[in-house]
Amino acid sequence: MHTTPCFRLPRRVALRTAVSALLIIAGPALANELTIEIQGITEAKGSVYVALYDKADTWMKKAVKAQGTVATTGKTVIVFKDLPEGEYAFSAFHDIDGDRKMARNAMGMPTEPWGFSKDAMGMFGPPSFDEAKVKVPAGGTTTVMTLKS
Amino acid sequence: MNRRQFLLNTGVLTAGLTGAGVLPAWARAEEDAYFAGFRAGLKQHRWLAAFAGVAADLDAGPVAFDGRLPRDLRGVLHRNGPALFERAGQRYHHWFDGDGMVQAYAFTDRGLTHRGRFVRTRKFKSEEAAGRFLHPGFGTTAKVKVPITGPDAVNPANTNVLVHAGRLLALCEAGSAHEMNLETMATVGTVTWRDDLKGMPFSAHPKLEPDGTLWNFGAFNNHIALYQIGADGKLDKAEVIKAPDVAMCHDFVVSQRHLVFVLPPMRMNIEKLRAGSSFVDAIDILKDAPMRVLTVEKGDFSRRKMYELPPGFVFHFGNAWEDKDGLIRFDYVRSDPGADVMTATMRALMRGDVAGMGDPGNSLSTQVVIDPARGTIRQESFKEDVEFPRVDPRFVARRNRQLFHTAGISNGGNDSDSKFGLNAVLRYDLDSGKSDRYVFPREYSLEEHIPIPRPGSTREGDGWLVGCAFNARTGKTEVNVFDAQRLAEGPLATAKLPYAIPLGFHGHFTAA
Repeated sequence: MHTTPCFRLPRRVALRTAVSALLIIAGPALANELTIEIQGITEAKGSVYVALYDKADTWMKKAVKAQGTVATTGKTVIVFKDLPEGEYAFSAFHDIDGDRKMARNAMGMPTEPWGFSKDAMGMFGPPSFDEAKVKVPAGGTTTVMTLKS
Repeated sequence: MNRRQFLLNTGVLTAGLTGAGVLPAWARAEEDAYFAGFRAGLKQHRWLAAFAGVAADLDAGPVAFDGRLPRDLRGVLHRNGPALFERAGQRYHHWFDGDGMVQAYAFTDRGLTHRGRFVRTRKFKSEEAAGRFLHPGFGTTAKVKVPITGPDAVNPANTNVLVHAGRLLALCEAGSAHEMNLETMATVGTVTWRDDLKGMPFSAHPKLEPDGTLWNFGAFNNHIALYQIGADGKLDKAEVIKAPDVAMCHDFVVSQRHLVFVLPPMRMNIEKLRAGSSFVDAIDILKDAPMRVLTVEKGDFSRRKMYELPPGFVFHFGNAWEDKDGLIRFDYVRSDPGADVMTATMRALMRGDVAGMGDPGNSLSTQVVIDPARGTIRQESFKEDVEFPRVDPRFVARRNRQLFHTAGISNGGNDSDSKFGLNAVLRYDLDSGKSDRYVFPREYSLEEHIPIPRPGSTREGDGWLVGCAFNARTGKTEVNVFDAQRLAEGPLATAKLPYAIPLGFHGHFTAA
């Protein structure tokens, strides 16, 4: 007799960008780094991908950068280098099966661990850009997030 | 250890039992109208003790039967229901929110033994460790926010239990089935029928055909998943179909050729949810809109038809079958539009307010006939206030002539001290329209009762009707066995347990 909440991410998690971004060579030398410590990695299998957004308009639609790293049990770190100062939000997921897509069940619910910057949570959808945004000042910053499953 | 009970029902000062006097300040601050209101209500209405809940697993027996337990009635009755309602001074605001406890009543040569085991869901384990509620329920908003990542993050596994292909499955409408070890009752974990179905709802009302085929569905956000599982426990087929205005769907029914749904139009109002309302309060029920009847062909899920019934509400179905002319016949328990029992009564109950309980005549067994060739549908209701329809398990998805219910039938006088709605067992003879019934004495509140076939017999309904009754006078649970064809004669045998077991929802009998 229960109806439960469930979270639905948009279909595109900017994975293509994520993969190609791995090949991007650093542009102009800017010192601002966003260091993301990703916690809650349940198994050392597959990769962890992060897609970075810089404004509400393009949030969860078009990432400015994306990056992936090999999953290690517990936590891993991803660093976005050479960012202009400003506000950013990101989404992340653990690609356990290695298909470079966030797995979903037949009703569209995520079945691989996922999360957002500041551990922001939405309801029947992603959180807003404002809820998830992190300030990257001159000199950079570090933020911690936990993947959820 | 036996009798590890933490019930609030045996005359002990209720506040003392949950340690309200020694709670830390933050916990006391969480005490709300429900926590206090329930204690006030309990002083006036002793039957409310059936909703007090328990805090730990239970063990008792063997308990000898009064009367005579039939020699060939041997096996285990498993039942499930919400059983834990309070932690750290907070009480749930809805009956449906409680953590599921699976009860196993074993009918043996030495009498009745009972084991009650909480389903160790993710939710239960994390809240047990924290010592307080962390997750929202169906009717309760959470004071502590934790990520809700999907249905299983809040799945209380509290509605039904089934033994299929040797597995004990604890079921709840909105999430995965939880497998428990059939012998030890230890929770194994959630069941994934296929990788792409992981974490999807698998309803609490699967239908088990006599050949072992199991049909089920799961509703979520205007979609319904359909499942066909073989007698071997392996998934044969699954598909997700679209179903507009389906915020929830509790039960369905299966005929020889069709899956049949009755869908009262309901919309999940996401804005209300985001604004902080509970799930039950966020469901917009379209009271004046017709109920839609959806039929899906078992052999081809894409072959579907829709019919309309007048506005109403439904939780439960008994059975469906097709006659030789291809008419689809089924029964459901129809109540007035708006689902007041779900939105109001079950909530009031938790704060000790019994005003809406036991109002007669709202839930009627209703027989429906669909003529697929003509596209017509008609229905007719019996007059008694009933719930929890069950049929002889050998007649699921084929013609049944008998229909068993738990019922609310006036036993005269003022019911104020025994007002939980269900106090009788009833069997309809669908051919004659006659009924056979037994009304319990005033102090009893009843659960669903289950027909159990007599081994070796093939005649429909030949066997027993078995279920639990809570005795408000003793504050304890009793298990009764009726001759299913002679309900009016009263129980053949009764076993009195040494404690109360919270009134539950649904169950399943497995013959020894």
